[in-house]
Amino acid sequence: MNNEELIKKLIDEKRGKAKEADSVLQTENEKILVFRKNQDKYAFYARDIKEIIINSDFFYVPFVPPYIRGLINRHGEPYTVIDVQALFDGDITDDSKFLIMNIDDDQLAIMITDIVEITNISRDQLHKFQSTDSENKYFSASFTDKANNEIFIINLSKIREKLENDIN
Amino acid sequence: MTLIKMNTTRENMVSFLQVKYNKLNFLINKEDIFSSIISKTNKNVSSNSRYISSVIFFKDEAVPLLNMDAYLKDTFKIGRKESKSLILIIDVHRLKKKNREFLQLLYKKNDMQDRMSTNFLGLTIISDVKLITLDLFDIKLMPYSIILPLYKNGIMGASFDNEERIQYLLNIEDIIFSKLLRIKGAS
Repeated sequence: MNNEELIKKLIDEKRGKAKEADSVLQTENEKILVFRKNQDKYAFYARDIKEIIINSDFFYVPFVPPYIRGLINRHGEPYTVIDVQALFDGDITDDSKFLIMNIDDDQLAIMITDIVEITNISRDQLHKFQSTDSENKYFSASFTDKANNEIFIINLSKIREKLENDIN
Repeated sequence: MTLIKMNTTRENMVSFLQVKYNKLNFLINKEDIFSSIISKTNKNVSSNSRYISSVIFFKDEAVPLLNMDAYLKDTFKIGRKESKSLILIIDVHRLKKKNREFLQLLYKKNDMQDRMSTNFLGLTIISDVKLITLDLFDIKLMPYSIILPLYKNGIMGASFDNEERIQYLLNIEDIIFSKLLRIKGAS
């Protein structure tokens, strides 16, 4: 089997699996996962997250922007590791916990320092951002936690958009 | 409980050279390799490329040696691993036409067309190499978001070995012609 045949078979296999996959149910629940990256707290909507992996090694991958820190192994599948702190302010530090993101057509993991809490936030507590708000371009909303800190909820679509622009 | 892989068939089993470094492995399709030798008689040559350093004699022909080991160490930020070198011999006739033509042009530009083998290329790698057979479907394509730059640069996929270390599947023809033979002034 030469390399072209080999890649064609792998692509056919992957397409077959994608067709079998169930569509993701979008719920109205605003459950939110708050995490720490270095000293800063951020959040994702819990529906954006499929799984949390702890104590995993990541492997360097070349030819990608520096905020892509490498790949991790999730059940034998490579997942792209994104360091949001490196993306936001260029600060690169290693951590060994990862949020596996709930995406149909890609395999993304977010490197985090620790989970802070999983909490329910009512909609009227959320401060939604306009998509044209360049200052908060990577965030969809924020809320005030019990300690009176403003926690920013990361917009996964914007992270993916940035990735796509940088790669292509 | 025995886990049975339903889609494992003989036709999906592929032989690879597994090149082992400290923290990661590389897989090279065995079909890409004509032969392998351990040579002690490399002749150094001057070159504008960091990865072309010497020539070996194989089947009475002067075969240019490309330093794949140095390239992998540079590209994947691998720490030094002291090891004897193994030379993989590539059959030029199995390469794509455009790459064969590029090679001819390169020799001509450097006035080497009468001296260099038009049949073979050599690649230096570390000698910590095993021949393994894998089910093709144990190798995964790269995540969609980064598949393009990796594929363009000769990284076709990845799998994880028994120690859960990543092993990158390399397209050595793409690496040879887009990286190792990239010389200033050569088109």
